[in-house]
Amino acid sequence: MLRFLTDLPVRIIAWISDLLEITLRFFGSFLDRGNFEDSDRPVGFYRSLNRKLGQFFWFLAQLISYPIAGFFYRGQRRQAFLCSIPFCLLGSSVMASCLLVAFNRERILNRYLARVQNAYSKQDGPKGVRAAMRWIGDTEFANADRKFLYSLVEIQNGNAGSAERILESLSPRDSTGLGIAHFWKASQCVGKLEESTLGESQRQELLEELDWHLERASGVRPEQIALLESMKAFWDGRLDEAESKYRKVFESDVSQSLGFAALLKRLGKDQERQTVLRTGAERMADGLRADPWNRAYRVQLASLYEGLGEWGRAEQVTLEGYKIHRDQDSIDAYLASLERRAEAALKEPRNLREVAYCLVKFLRTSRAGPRVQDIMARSLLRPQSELLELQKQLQQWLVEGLDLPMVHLSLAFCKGLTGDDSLRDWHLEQACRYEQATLGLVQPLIGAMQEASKNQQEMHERMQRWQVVEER
Amino acid sequence: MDRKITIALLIAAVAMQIPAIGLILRQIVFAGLSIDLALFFLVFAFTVLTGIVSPFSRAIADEQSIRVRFLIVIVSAAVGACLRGVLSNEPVWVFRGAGLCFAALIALVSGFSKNRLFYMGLLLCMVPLSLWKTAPWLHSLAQWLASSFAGCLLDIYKVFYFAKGNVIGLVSTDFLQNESCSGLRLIYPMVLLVMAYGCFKGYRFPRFLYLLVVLLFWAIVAQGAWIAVEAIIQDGQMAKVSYNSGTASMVLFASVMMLTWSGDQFFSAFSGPSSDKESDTSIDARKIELANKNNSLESRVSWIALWSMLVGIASLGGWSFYKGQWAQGLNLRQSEAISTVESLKLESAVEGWKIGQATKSSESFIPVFRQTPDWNHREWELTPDQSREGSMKLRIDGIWIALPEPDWLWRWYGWKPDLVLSDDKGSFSFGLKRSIVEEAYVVTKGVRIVGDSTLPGPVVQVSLVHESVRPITEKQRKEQKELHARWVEAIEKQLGFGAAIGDSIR
Repeated sequence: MLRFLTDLPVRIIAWISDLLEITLRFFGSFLDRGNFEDSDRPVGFYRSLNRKLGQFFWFLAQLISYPIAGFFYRGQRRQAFLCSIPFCLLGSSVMASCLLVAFNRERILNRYLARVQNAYSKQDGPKGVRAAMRWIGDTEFANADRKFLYSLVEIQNGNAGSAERILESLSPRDSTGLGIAHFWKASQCVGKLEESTLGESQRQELLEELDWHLERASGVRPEQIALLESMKAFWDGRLDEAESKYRKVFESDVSQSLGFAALLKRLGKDQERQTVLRTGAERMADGLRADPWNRAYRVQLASLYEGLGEWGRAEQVTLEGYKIHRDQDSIDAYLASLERRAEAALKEPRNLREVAYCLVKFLRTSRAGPRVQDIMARSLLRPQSELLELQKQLQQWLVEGLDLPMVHLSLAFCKGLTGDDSLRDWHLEQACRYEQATLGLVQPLIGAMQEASKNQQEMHERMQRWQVVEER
Repeated sequence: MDRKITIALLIAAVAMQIPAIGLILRQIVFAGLSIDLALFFLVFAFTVLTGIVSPFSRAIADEQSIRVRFLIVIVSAAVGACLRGVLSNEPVWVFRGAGLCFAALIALVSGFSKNRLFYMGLLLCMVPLSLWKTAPWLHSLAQWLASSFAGCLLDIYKVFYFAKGNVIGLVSTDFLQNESCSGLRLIYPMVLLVMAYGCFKGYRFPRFLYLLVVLLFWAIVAQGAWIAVEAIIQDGQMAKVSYNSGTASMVLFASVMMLTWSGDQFFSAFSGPSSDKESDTSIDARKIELANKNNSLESRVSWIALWSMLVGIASLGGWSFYKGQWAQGLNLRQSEAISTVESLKLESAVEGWKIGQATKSSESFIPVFRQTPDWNHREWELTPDQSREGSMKLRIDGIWIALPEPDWLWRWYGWKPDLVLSDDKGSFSFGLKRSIVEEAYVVTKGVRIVGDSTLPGPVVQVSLVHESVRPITEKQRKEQKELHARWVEAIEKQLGFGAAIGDSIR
């Protein structure tokens, strides 16, 4: 039954031969080149068209057969053929390269996409941005997800503005957009709602916008969306709903303790706030014990202790972080914590023991930098009674053995401002005796205090006088 | 008789354009385009010599070989060029028109064929090459193609790169390949050499066009290959790898010329023995006879049209002579112009903006199509005091003899126009966009370095640029324009060359 299959290859060859013959017969009228020699003779339209087609056919035939036919040329033509080999070879290579790249465009761009993902995972923002520049302008390739990836590497590169612009373009007020970009936009709206300068109509518009984006938000954990919904409920005046929603989030995610505590503070539930902070701190401390390298846990725990007013424990957590990581980030985290501690201490009513502590710590960590100058001016350029109380606290710290050179240096400034020059010089001498390098801090600090005390004539004169003594 | 009248009118047409020709020659000398100038004189002398002694041309070197019809075409092109020059106040176009008339004059006197006249006219039109206003645009297109081809090679070689318009940057390093992506190198000498080659071989127009296309193709490919090689060497290196660019340019030049010649051989081999038809020698006696016959049939109307056009060109030149339009006697001195630009000093602060020398300007390069051997790019950063937002850049680029399109530099780096270019007393302002986040607003103006601002002459481009990832507001644009006007005024005062030189130029 299937015997005809054995004949099939022979038949196919026969069909192809017939086809070729028919084609050649069809173009037969064109193939006679002799007809074109008398080209000067005027001819009709169809004859002219026929001739052109024939010429084109011959041109193509010659072009295709050129690489082989060339070897059979003779005389000058053969020489010209040999000389044209570089042109033909290189020209073909150029065309082939372009075609190769054009046909593999998608694959090549995917290679760049992988490079961006790799750079993002290694937090190498600049390289990620440069790799993304290859495809970000390609409207077909750069879909919403890839644009979002680009915004992430832009953030790593320190270009938050560019990232925001992309996210805005990914969260338009129409049916398109990316769920995660809508989530970002909703977070933006919540951030704007916190601003106290908003009018009622603006607030209403923002709430509508928040609602719109929140409905389309996706691509994040449900708790994160629930958190925004809770804030929306709060701004809508549905306080119980806001609290219950946030509580659910807090119960499943301890890292939301601070946010929940802030909400409870707004709702006037201070006792509950303390409980939440305490619970959060305990759970976070457990987490940190299991994973001491986790920076996010460490920052959260320090903030929770700060929220509870337990500054010593917060400092201990950040210092531990520095000992583990030994990098600029952990130094910055420590200094930021110290600054928040100083700000809290300088708030009325002042906690002068804390102020004295922060002053000494700042002198040790930031030397005579602008941050220290600012804290020093705000701590020391105060009424006489407060200055005396501060001196007492500093002396107490001296007894407790806190950083002796810096405590003496602070006391020297206190004495200098109260006009007790002999004790001022004695404290400075003691500071230098413990640590000679302390002397280098004095002159810049005196200069800063002179500048800051311009409105307090008496103190200003005392600082001026001190400078004269130093210069002598 | 007709021939004598035509020659007399051609002499008058060329003579009346002497002031414009003189001005252009002075500008060429000012620009220091010595290579172009030398090449032009050499190739032109070569053309004349081959026209006289070449065995190709003598066979038809009688006056009948140039038909009136062809002369009319050449002279009408000359009329167009002269008119454009006079109307747009660009003596370079008058120079080109006069060049065409001059070529027709030589061809008519020496009895050259129309083929030779075509080459001579083309050569004279090509000078001064570097003063062409279209050069930035042509280079921009060619460089884009070259950079794209370099990109293909880098993709094949798996070197990661990105392109900012015409300029390639590597993912592994933090700078752009500005030097190698600054325009097609040595393209004008290449074009002149190919024209001379075509003229020597006596090729007709289609083959000449083929040769030019092949030349451009290889010039672009070679430039792309060079960029790719440089990028491959540079890949992964944090510091800029230096190399001898002079040697590289010579290798590039030799490669392109060799491949173009190889392309010409392809044409010869491909078209077979009948390719000899392309040369003038193949025109047989029957065809010459036919041409003579046709020529004799041409009516007096053609001659009268030709003479009218020549009288028109002569009158146009005479009118310019009478008005003293080009005869301003500009005494241009490049060294003074350059030192004036280099010694420019700006105030350290103005209206809440502090100004300081830019520390890092990645998007600045020395274009190969510059019109002077020296190129001055200076950039300052304007940082606002606390009450303002954003930062701007003030930059000076030049010297130009003929200022290109105001947005040429930004287009070079891939910026696309966003807002319509607006002109306010010679000061242009336009909005630009790039990638999906970058926006810019530019206010720019060409500031004359010397002499009367109504005449063409050396200028520098003074631009104030505001780049941002946020939309630039109308208020910011207005403020930018005002600030730019202030800086331009201050710069104009310093670049005015002072009284000492200003007095000596008239």
